[in-house]
Amino acid sequence: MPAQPIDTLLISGTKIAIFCARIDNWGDIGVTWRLARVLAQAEHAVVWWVDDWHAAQSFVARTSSLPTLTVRRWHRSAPTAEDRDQVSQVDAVIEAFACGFSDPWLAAFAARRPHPPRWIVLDHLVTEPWAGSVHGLSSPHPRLPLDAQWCIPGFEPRCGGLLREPDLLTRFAESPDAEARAFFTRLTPLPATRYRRISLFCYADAPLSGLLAALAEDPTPTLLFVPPGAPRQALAAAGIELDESPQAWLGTPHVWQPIPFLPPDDYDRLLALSHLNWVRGEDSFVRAQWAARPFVWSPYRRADGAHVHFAEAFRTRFGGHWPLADTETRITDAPYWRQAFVEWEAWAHHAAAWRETLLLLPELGQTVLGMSLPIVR
Amino acid sequence: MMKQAQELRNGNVILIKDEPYIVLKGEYNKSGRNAAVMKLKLKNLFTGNVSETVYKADEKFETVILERKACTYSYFADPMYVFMDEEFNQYEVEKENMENVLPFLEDGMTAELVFFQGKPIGVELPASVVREVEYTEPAVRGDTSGKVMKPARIKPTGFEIQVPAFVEIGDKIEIDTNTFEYKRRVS
Repeated sequence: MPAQPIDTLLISGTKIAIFCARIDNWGDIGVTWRLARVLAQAEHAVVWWVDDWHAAQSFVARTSSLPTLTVRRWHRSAPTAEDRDQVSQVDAVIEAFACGFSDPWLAAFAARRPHPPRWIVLDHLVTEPWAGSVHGLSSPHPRLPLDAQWCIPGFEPRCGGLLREPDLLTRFAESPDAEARAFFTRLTPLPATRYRRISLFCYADAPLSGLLAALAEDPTPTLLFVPPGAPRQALAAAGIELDESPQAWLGTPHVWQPIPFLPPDDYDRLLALSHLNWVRGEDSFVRAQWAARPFVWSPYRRADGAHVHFAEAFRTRFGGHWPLADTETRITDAPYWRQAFVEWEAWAHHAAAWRETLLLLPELGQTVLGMSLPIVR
Repeated sequence: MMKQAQELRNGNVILIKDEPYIVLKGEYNKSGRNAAVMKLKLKNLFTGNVSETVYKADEKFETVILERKACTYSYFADPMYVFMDEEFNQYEVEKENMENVLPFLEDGMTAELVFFQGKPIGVELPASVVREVEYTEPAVRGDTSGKVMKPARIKPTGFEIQVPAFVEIGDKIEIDTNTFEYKRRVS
């Protein structure tokens, strides 16, 4: 089924400011950048405000620029005179992940003439059914002449949906072998297309023991791509120390391949070309679903354990009987993994069918755009 | 007094843009990483409009304690309804704030007036009232279960509600003033 075309004609030229506070890692930046790019590609003027200027610069350096997308440093405590001037021109502000605005920023929005901008609170992805009953509700400010509207991404038909670029299916399409080989030469000196491939982008506390135990006994040569940071820490905790070169996993036919932190488009390719993707948080989790390959997910950890329910709600939607979230007790069970490898074809078929259902959901960029349209009074 | 959204309970009254809203329902929601939110069903005590909203759980609101006073309905002075307290002070209430009361309004009835900043903004009835059936069709023979309902007009407003088939003209019935539903036959 083809992706629904994005209606780029929803008043092109809308001026949109996306505000992103980086908490940790790259997920928040990745999601908001993708949203900014989708809107900018539809010829809307997007300003992407990021509080962590170093991280934003580092991220942008690895992506291609767009004429209608600009990046600004977000001084969260209060806007500068230049910031106020910028804000006075926007039609809509997007408060990514309900990151919050200080009073001086709210005052700047309220002061915009002839009326305040549209204010959209874009929340994190919600897997639970309540997303549909909260999405779109307003949040009138108790004191200021500002009314926020909530946008909840998720899997309910009546929520904000998922981010889906117009070329998404092409992006995740099967690659001709030559193209895949060309891609992998940038990541490894090994003939990657001859291996079973696993990408490992988990948290440092990911319970890898079940997967590793099953792999250790598995005769299919496997190339495991490991980016820096948390995934290598998780492996180190399992007794596997990696440097920057490919490393044979002694006693097995498998090879560990350290890779750098990839730009978003390259990471999409890796997801599409891997047989199994271990992903984490929100951004890579959604991208892995679009890749339509078997995946295992490390949900963002919450001290109160909310992530366990988050994962359970997703399991209820996704179905299947293969490994899905690393919060599940069976994830450390080697026979569970062995069986999943035996059933890989069915697992992959299930992931592809799941993507078909996702194509029926609203497109998040379009949803945000609909909420951002200039107020006509 | 300030309260966070997650501390609000049904019946609390909060100020939004200087207008009082009563909380009709609150629902706390939280997911994997999202902002914990409170979905609130609110009624504007000025306009009577009911709306659904959502707030971050830690959003702060000024809460209001409303003044209440027992009063008696006196008369209608178009377009205002006039009530009187025990000291014979008169209060005028706008029709927009009487929507839930009008079906049961009768001369001399007692009710509680709700005040915000000295102005009457609402009238609260007891949870139920007893009214006489002015007219209803005769029961079809054999329907004694109480499950078959028919319309009935009540005195003195002519308001129509659904009653069981066995209710007859002249019967006094108890009516739920929140749901406008028949509760039981009194006599």
